[in-house]
Amino acid sequence: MNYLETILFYAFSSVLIATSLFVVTAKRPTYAVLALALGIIALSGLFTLLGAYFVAIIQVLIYAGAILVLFLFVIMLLGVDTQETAKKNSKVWATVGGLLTLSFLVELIGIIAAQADLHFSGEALVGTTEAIGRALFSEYLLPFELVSGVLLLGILGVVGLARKESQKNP
Amino acid sequence: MITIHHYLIVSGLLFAIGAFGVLSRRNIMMILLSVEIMLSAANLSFVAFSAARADLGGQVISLLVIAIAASEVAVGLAIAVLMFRNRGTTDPNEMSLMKW
Repeated sequence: MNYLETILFYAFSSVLIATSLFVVTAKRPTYAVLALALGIIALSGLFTLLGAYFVAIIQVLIYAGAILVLFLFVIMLLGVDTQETAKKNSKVWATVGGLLTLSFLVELIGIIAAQADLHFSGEALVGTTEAIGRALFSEYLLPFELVSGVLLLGILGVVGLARKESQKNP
Repeated sequence: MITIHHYLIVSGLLFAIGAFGVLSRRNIMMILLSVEIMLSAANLSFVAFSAARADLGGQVISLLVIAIAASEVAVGLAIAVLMFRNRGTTDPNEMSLMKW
């Protein structure tokens, strides 16, 4: 059982890291979106290993089902699926960004490795739909309602942006 | 034996990859995709700490993060569509009209 968990962890996380690296280096946005869909499925596998079943399912439904489909839709609508114009400051930014994120990563791994007293608690925590629903509607009711307000504002913002454009060129 | 440190290091790697994408790509679509990777990294950290503390709060917060990510993508893609229609490019460096 323990071996199985180890094998699954390394399989899911290697798929996740490999697809993320492909996403940030891919030449064509369409391939990047499809690779990220595979990465999201691997991430939901990691969530399942942690016992967060409901979050795993919602991750696949919302990310792969809604967000990435929206990305694909916009990319195909605009027809921007071309290579980025190779500019000379793009290479400078890639070098600077690589150095910055590398130093950030080294520091972060140092901090994580120093936390020796951090362990998984022995008791099994299972994030079933019922448990999440009870927590969401009792203890976390205020953040839940605030997020619904944010979603409403997002809808209004998108409709406002789209309407302004259609009034300009009727 | 998989400890919480393994999950946190995967989460940190994922966040660093996303930050590298935001800094190095010159296409607003790819920048938004990299932001999605960074948000997923934060989600993985939340769920790992939730399992470590035997507290459902982390999983609830990661659900809220997914909702915020959805609305962020909707607004970001609407801005990208407007930008492409008005300026004919998806390079954020070209949006320098207000630069002195």
